[in-house]
Amino acid sequence: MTRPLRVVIAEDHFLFREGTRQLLEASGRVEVTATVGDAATLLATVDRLGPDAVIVDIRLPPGHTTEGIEAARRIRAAHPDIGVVVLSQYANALYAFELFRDGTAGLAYLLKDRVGDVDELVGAVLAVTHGGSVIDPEVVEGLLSRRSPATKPGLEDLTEREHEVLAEMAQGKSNAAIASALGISDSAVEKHITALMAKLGLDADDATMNRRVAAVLAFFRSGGPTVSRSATP
Amino acid sequence: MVTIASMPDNRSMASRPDAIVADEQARGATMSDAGAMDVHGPGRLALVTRRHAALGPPWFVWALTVVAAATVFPSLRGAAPPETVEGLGLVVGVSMVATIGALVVSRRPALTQGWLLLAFAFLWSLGLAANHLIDVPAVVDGLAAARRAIAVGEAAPVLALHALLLLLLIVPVGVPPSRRWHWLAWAIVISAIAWSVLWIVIAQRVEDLAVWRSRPSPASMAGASLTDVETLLVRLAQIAGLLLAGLVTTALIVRYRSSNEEQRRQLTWITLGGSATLVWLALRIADPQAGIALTLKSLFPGLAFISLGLGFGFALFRYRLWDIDLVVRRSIVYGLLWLTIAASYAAVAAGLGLAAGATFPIEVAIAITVVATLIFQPVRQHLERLADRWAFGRRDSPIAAIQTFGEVVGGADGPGDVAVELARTAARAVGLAWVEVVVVGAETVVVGTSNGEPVTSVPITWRAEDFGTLGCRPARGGRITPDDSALLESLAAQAALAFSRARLASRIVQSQEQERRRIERDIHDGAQQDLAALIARLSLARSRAGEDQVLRETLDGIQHDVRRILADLRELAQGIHPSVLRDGGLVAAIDDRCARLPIAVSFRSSPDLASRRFAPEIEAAAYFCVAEALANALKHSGSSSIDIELETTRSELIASVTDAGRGVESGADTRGSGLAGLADRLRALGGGLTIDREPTGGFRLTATLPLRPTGDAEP
Repeated sequence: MTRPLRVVIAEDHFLFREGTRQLLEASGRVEVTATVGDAATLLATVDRLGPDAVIVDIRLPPGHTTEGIEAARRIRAAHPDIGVVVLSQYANALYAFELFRDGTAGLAYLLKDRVGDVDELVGAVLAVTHGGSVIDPEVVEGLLSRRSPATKPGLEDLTEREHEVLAEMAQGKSNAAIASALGISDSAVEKHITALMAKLGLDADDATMNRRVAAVLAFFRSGGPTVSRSATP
Repeated sequence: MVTIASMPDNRSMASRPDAIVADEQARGATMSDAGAMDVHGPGRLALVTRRHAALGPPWFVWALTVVAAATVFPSLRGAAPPETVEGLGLVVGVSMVATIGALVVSRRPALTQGWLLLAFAFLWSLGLAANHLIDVPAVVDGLAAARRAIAVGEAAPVLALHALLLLLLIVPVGVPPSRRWHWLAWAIVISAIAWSVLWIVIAQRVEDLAVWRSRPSPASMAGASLTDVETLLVRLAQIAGLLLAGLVTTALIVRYRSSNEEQRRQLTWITLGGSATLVWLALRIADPQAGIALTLKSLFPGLAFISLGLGFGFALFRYRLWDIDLVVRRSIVYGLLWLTIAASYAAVAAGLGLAAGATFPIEVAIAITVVATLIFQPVRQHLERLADRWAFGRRDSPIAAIQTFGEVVGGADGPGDVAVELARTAARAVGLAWVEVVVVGAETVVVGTSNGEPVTSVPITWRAEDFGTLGCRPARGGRITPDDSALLESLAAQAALAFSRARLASRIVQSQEQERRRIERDIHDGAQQDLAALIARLSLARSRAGEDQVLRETLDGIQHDVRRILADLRELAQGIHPSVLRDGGLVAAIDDRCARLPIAVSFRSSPDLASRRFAPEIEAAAYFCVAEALANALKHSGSSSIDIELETTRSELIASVTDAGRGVESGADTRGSGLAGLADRLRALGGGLTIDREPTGGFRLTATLPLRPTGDAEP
């Protein structure tokens, strides 16, 4: 690690913004170059400073709905090199799907609870700067625990271990990270991944690190919740 | 105060009087000029008219007429049946005409026709009385007195007939059909004066009272010693009278041909009554002595006068001649029918009794009378029931309309239902061909086929709040009277109240919904964010704790607790108002809810619904109904599968939740109780909630919501 990651934080809640800033800077791996309170200022600041990554609250002034997701996708569209971590209070998959609608690369969806583990947070920031994707484990858990029979064929066929691996995969972890999290070998992880991708009918080529979150999400999304943009203010 | 009619003596009658009295009471409440009401005891049939009218001259004249007519009765003792029937018919017919005349005069004193009717009845009765009093020595003593009685007895009926001719000439508008007929009115007046003078003169020429009294026909002058000139004048006057009658008939025909539909209907009945009277007059002059013509002659005066009364009655009350008001129309029509039926019954029974009295011993005659009375009693009852239905069944009386409307509106589910009921009630109560109710926030309701622009528009307002309008058009040939307008306004006001209530309920639900959103936002932006910030700071503290293992573990423990609190708070906020419902809509929110259930749920919705948004309160009501139904199904049914369906029709959003329940031990009442609040909420929005038992043993809960916004639009 040569230099700290340059990060811009967009958050309108003062305490949380400062807490996060101090936490990240205390880690020594992140330099918070700017903090902003709304989406418009964020976009201007990103254009001006060109940070490595952005941490953005999903709900920003003035509408306090999903402005953070909108901003994240605009930043990704304008600056493909800049990773974006969206912090949210919502564990609903709907928001993750909305964020990843046009692609998963360089995007992370985390619950705000994750600031409780600075390594996890910094890890996500690092992952998105490298084009990776991260989904909060709680959201993934929600997706995997769905019981609707019509929507997820194949899910029932997975072994317990494959299920665990799928959950880790969906969060955006690397094979090595999955191996250490589950306490198994790298090759065993690879074997499980190949098997579960086949069972779910996913393309094995998607098993490459950067694309597999997208593949897993696509799997969950097919026949799943249909996301509609809010028509009301 | 005049009370017509008497105690009813059967069930169908007893059920009605209250309605009639109530009609009058309602009228009293709505009409500012109404006098004090005399309400009879329960079960009494009371045709109550207004006090100021009752005490006025027309009813005094009416009373005189009836009393005068009643003098016929003593002379009927021992009379032959034809004469008896003639006498009874005359009394009934004259009373009827007098009643109608008095009624018209009391309602519309400025109307000549009413006075003419009353004058006709009074003069005729006066003639009857005078003719019969000649036989009473206590009253008429000596030739001079008899001559005066003869003058009155002969001149009064002739004057009465002239009044009738004049009436038939100017009916219904009060002037002859056209300017060309004006001379006829004068001719009638001149003829009337000439006849009066003539009779006064003839009366003085009467020498032999017995011969005069028993002369073969009224046209005959036997018993009076007339000069040739006088005889010629009488003949001329008789011919002139017949000519006038013919001309008036022609005038009636001319008027009928040039009248509109409504007037024609009125005239038909008057013409029938009038021509019956004229036919009788002709018979009287022709004076047949035998055969069917004799029977006709004896029946005719009664029939003629009764049909004259009925003719005017029909025209007045059925076809709104001269705008006599609605309530009296209903009650008087009924009263007249009742009177006719009662009188006919009495005439038949008494006639048979009298006829029997002339032939059989008194005991047998009494027995025959009793039997006749008993036999005709069911016939009378049946006729009365018919009259009852005819008078009250066709249209709602105003009080009934308002009462029924109040009940229906009380149970109406939404503004749409209220609008439909308003249109129906208005159409029924006023006899409208076409009613259109335009209400803000509900579909326009049309009853009947539009035959043009509305002629009357009544605004539906309550406390300066405007809800729409009621537009209507009367049935062909009809018109909307001021009383009809008052009734429509009253109905519209009642409807406005219901609309206001619905709007209020809808506003309450809307504000409740806004409040829930605000609370959710407050929790999210306040406590939730604070706790997240606390987690960040605890994390910072932990990283600064260095190698102090105890402190690190303590901080970890605190952070774990804070995370749990945050998770609980998140759950709470989502329960108050799910963010997914706000951000993703109904389908996304229901889907999200299903995802967090421990059992499999199938959720079907049409594809277009996924991206469709509804008014926030509609979405929230539908969502919470589904959520509550899901919770109930989980708690009570032990069901292994639940089906949710969401669909829209042109005007409604329908959400249904069906569980495959396993048994009957979970009662419908237990699961229904939790939904009571939601049912209220749906109703307030103009929707509804139904719970059906499925054949499989499970329950299907269906929530229906209108797609058009009720009441106000979202602020």
